[in-house]
Amino acid sequence: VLATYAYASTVRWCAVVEFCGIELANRVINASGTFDAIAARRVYGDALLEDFPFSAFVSKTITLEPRAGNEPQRIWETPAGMINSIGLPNKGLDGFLAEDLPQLGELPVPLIVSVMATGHGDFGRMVSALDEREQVAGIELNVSCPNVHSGLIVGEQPVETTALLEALRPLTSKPLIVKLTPNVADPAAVAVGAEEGGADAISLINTMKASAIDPTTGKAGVGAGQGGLSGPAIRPIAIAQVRAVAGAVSLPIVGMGGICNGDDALEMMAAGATLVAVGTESFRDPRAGLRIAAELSERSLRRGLAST
Amino acid sequence: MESPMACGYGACFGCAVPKPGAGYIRLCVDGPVVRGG
Repeated sequence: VLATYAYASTVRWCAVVEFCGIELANRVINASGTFDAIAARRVYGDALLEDFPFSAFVSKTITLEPRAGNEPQRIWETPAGMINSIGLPNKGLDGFLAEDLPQLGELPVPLIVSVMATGHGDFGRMVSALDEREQVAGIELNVSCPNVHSGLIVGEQPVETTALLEALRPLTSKPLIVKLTPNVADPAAVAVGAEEGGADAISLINTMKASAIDPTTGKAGVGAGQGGLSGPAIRPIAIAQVRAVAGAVSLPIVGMGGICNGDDALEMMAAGATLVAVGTESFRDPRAGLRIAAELSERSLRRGLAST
Repeated sequence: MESPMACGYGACFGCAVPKPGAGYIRLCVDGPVVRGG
């Protein structure tokens, strides 16, 4: 407990960070789907609100209709990481707005809502609905999904990504953050497509396509046969992709992929990220964000990087 | 029941098992003892 309060007091010394017009207390936020503020509040009570682990909260991805998620088994441990095949279980837009948004509005940090759809119309309905809600500070577009009209994965195609942003940009003045998939040959080209369409920021990387086989059964480790790899195993890939994207666009970047400590966060910022997001490490320690923000602050001061 | 868990507090939905009827429950917050079908 003492250590936790020490972290918190260190974090408060940080300068406020501006991101797409949103003021944040530090540079560490969560990766979508890896921290659940409502579930955490059930565990930690209101102490969670006094010492919230992140400077903004990014929701789990919501879709227009409810989803049950993928067939178990959903997770598989790997060296320095894990494969997940969760399948975006969620209450759907209406359930989110009615049940979750009022609770998320009580958080002491800005709320970014992650959305996914398989067409411009459904994406637009979600963005328009969120635009009306004052609790929502920003919207993250999960583009690792097919466009049912073209059959192409939006985030794998610069042209599809530009078209999606051009369709959504007129619907909201809230920041639109495009979450890129790493499963492409040239993520920078997709980032440029997002920038051309009117995106406000880029976040990357999502998980990498991966499979494991259970040697005792010969069957796939996760029910869907394939999932997404996360954790420190993918950090060098994330660093390379953030570096490439930072060199191609002038938008702020949320860098993520295997960040576990302050040095990892500094590395990600040196690659070009304005903010860093913590994902898999939060499964191991739900309060990891506080520790990483404190380590980042301490290391930045020691190295004379006053602006971080 | 048992299932691999990532977070253990209801955030990741990794420990889902089918519930009678349709849908899934999370063993970490709804288990480990659950009502059968």
